[in-house]
Amino acid sequence: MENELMEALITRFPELEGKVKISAPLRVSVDWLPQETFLKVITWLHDEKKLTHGHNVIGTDEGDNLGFIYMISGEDQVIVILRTTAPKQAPRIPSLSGLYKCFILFERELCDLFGADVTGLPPGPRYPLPDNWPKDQWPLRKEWKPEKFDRQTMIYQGDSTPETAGAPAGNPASPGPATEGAAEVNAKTEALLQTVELDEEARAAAAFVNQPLPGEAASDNAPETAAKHPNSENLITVPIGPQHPSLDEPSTFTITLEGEKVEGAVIGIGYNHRGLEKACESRSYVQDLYIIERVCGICSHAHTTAYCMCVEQLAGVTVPPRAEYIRLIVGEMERLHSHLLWLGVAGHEIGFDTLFMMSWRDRERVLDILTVLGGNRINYGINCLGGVRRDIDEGLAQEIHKTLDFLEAEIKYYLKLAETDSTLAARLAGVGVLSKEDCLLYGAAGPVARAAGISDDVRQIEPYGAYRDIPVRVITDEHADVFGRTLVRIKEMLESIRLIREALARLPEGPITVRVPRRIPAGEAIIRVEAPRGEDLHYLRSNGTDMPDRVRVRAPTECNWHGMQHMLEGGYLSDVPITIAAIDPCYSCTDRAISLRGHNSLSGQVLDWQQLRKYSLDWYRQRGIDPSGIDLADISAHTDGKE
Amino acid sequence: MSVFKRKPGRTHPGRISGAAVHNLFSHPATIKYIGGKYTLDKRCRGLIKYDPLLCIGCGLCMKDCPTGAITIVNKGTKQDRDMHAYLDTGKCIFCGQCADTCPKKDIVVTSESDLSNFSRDGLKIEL
Amino acid sequence: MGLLTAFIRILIFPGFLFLSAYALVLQFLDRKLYARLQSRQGPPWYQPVADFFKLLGKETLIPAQANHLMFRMIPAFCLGAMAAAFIYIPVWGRSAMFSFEGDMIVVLYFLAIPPLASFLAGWYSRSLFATVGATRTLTQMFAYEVPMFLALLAPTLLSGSWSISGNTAFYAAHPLLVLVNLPALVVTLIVSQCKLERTPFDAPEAETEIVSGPLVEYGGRYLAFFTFSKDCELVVVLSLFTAMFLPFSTGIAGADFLLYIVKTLAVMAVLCLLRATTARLRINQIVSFCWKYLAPAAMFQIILNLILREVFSL
Repeated sequence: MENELMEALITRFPELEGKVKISAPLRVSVDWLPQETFLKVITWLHDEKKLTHGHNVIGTDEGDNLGFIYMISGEDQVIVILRTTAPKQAPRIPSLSGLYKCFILFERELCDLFGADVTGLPPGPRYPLPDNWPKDQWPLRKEWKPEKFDRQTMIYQGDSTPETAGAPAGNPASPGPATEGAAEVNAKTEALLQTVELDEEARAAAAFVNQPLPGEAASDNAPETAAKHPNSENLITVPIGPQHPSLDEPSTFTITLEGEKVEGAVIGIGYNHRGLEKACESRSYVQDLYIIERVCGICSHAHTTAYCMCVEQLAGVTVPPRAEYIRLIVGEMERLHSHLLWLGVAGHEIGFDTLFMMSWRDRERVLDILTVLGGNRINYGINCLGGVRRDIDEGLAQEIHKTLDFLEAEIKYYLKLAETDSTLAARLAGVGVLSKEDCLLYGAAGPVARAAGISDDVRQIEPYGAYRDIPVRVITDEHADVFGRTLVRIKEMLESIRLIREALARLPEGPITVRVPRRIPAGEAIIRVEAPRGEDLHYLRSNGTDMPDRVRVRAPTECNWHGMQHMLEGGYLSDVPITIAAIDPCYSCTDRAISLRGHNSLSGQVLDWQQLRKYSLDWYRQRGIDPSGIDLADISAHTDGKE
Repeated sequence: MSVFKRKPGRTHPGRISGAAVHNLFSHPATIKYIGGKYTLDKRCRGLIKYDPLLCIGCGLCMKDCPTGAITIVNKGTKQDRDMHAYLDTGKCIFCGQCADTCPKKDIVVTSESDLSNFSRDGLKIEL
Repeated sequence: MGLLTAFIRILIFPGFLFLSAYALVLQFLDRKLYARLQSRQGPPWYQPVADFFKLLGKETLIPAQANHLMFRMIPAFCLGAMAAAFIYIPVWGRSAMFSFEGDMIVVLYFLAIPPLASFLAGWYSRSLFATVGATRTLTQMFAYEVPMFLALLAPTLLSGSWSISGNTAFYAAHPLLVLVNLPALVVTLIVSQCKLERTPFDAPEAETEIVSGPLVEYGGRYLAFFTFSKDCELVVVLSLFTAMFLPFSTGIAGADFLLYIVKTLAVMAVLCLLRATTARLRINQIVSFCWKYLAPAAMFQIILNLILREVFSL
């Protein structure tokens, strides 16, 4: 498959001769191309070869140039990696969001983190950096040093920073998105829309923007939608988030309602950007493992597995089979705990607290096993470079078997419940529909795609580790709504139980780890693994030192955001929480900064521990309570003495 | 555009009542807030243990620590070593990487987990 | 009845003080049972009292746009209505403290005050979520009022009395006739859940959708009294239910009181089980459920009772 594609490419574009190679199974890598050639190639691949699934866009720093790496694939699942560059002085590239709708978020990232000038990108606030972040600071460029940046004042204290110097004086429109006034942006975009062929749906997807604040949303966005609507006076705008009981992490959904019906939805994410990718570049491979583990609390194992596989591929190390089997066991355990967690959250969102409590009770059994297996409850830390850190002995295997027997009975009960309970059916069926065509269009991944009948599971498409020995039966469903996603997740748990049992039965003898050198040879690796929420894609580039050159984590949720607006619109307000929950969103995964989203009028500052404490003391003093007499250290000394 | 709208089969309300009533007569899964006993498994990772006599002062643990929580100091001379290890438990993420890295297997992970303190400085301890 | 006795009966037993104490006990039992059905430990017995006093000590914030007078008065309205309604329901013995021909209508109207209070509370707090919640409260009220009135009036057609005490006395004398009212009993049981805004009919205060709806801006002592009056509403609805549909009594006042406690607890357990085993319905589903199933069932009961009354000329 890879060869056919490679030959087809070279036949059609003779200038690519010698620039195309198969870098790994199912990966066709194309060398750096000038922008014109690149555009021709990607358009041809999209239109003629039907490589319509966009995986990821990665920005890199290539010295004087910015590099852009695009990953696309089609029916036969071969990922084609295309590269193009633009000079840092004028980093202009055309937006491909007309071809691939799911590239909008990734391209916004390029603008914010690299300062690329993506022309034709639909207008919208920035993502993922906070609103008060200076417009001329692009943190993922190599010359940007985090220690020179003052988070309180948001001032970069570099002596004549290359960024500010790099901002072309003759091209004031270029630095970053959302810098100009709304009218200017609109005019500019209208002009650009003539050139890039955005269809109606792409425009709809363009509304997928990063909403600043609910107050602003109400003033800016709602009247616009309201003006278009025939009975605009009946519309009200409800902000769901940044803080809302149904959201487990901050994000904003600005819902325009007519009565109880959702007329419009604007999605704002990016509150949780923690700058992990930048952090990874200044730490060793071993330290990065723990950063990557903290990308997401739930799919920590999937992320570390992908990262470890990247490093191992680059170092040319083969992981011992026993380690691969243990990785599978932990991975499937993680899927069990993630799906049980999801089932509970879904139950809670629709007011079914008994289901919530019961599934979380059962999840606790999985977590108990994971605690003894890995050592920690959530960030198990079982993966290490070159294998796993803990072995499974006979006693532990027995414990796992016992827990699995208990869980199997419980999960079968939940399946029966989901299929036969009428209040569940009333709330889940027909809600948040994303059809097969829409899934393909918006690039949905994981259970969302599988619930629409797409057999999209990396464990089957591209088996890795022990999945080569133990094939996975992919669970699909035809409902394409929240009900279907529920069934898919519950059935997947039963499949996971089968996989763990099989892996335990066939667990090979041998060592569990091999040595991995500290310095990793230069190269790049693209690994995808199946996280509980879908395809998790990692890109790692090494430069021969003990620190990676570029790490890019494309979490599964990032693909699923694009279809969200489509799912919400036309539904009811009551269905908004469950529809959001149904993609099992992991906001941190997607956003990957401890910085508060500030607004000019509001507190655009970050308070550290001391300031926060001072603020609370002042607050109490204003109300006539003087807490300064209370010394916390005294209390601790007192209690210590007593014990 | 094909939207699959297959209605679910025969359904009844309150299908979970059997399990709910069963819960009523079985032991609750949670523990009492005051007076309930919860013990962590011994295999759980907690505070690390350090033996100053075995330490050769290679500093690999400090190098590999993801959060920079551990500090090893030699307060003696080159010949007459007096090793001390300090751990900021506020920074420590209990990953156990130091124990894995240590060439002398001098650092050992225990399951000790009662480390809370009233002040931030109280979290910095000598091992 | 002397003035002092009347005073004691209204304020202490079986009046307001008993209502308050029983409301807190019922809240505890409801929460405990709910927790045990979910395999949780549940709160300790003093939790409702602790919650109440803790809220009394909290700072009260009133939104700037809200109507301050209404904002403060609504909880008091709600509580007052519940205390007044309780007077007409028999607790100690077969007859209520006060009764007259037609007191059932008065109680039903008093019972309409809490949803109205919630609506006003939501409307006057001028908050988005509260407004959505307020609209939902009113929508839901229009959905369940008709089946509730029909179902509660059905027994009176047989007894011929429009007083709760009179009704209780009639059915105590003819216990078998209670079976005739079974459809109305079921309808009232479901409607009670709907009236009390508990799952599956808690769309007006759906926490995960509209952040507890009309009460979202309430805090401190106003919230304390609001939630407290909701607990009282639970007692009043349960008492009314037992008086209308389970009017079995021994004739001895003390024993009847014990029987009253047992009956209300049993009904509460059923309502709690219903709450624990269902998911929250959407407001449109609630409305269609009430009109499609509950209203016809109640209507059927009315017709049945009318026919019975003509045939047996009760």
